[in-house]
Amino acid sequence: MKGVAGWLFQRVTGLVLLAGLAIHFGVMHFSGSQQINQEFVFRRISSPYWKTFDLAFLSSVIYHGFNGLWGIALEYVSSPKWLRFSKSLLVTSALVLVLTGVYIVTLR
Amino acid sequence: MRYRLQTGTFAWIIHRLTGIALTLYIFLHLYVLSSLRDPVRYEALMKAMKNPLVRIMETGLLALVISHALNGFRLTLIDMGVSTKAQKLLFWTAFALGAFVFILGAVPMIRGEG
Repeated sequence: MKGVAGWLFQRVTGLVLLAGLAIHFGVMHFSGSQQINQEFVFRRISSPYWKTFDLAFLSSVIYHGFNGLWGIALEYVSSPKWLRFSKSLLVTSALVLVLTGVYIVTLR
Repeated sequence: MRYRLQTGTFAWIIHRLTGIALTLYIFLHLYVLSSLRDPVRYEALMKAMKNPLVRIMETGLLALVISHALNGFRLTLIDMGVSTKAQKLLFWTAFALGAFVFILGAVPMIRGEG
């Protein structure tokens, strides 16, 4: 994303991630996670609320991470050819990750 | 003339490096989760992740997440108009808070309970 919209969305997704991470760590790591097994995860992702949470979390993290890498590419890569290459690499990786994430969340 | 490493510059370098590492970690995280379909494979992976080396790496990951998140929050506050004069104070407040949350999380993680 270009200019102000990209900058703003980086902040917005950052705040979403800050809140999401607190929930993610609380549930998956610090609430007796010895009991977390495949069955637990399946039970969790079968809930529409958790599905919504996971998809929002997934898209925020991927946008935030790859937009960040794109910002770094813009700073260090000067040749238009390599910049195009970086862009397609980043977009492809982001898409693969989103699809993998959607696949996982919709397993149940 | 030599440049002195200022708090802000240091935070900027750390933010960039942790950002790159965390984005790359998404690949590993989703790869592990994609084995959920097969309970046997998933449980085997989870068991392998209980080994001390992986637990230490997980704790390191927690440190990266906390530093990136809190420094990002500090940057957002500055973008929203909090005076840049406060940036050093903000940095050290975030640092203290981060260290506290890290210890809180690292203890159960290292003990294999997190």
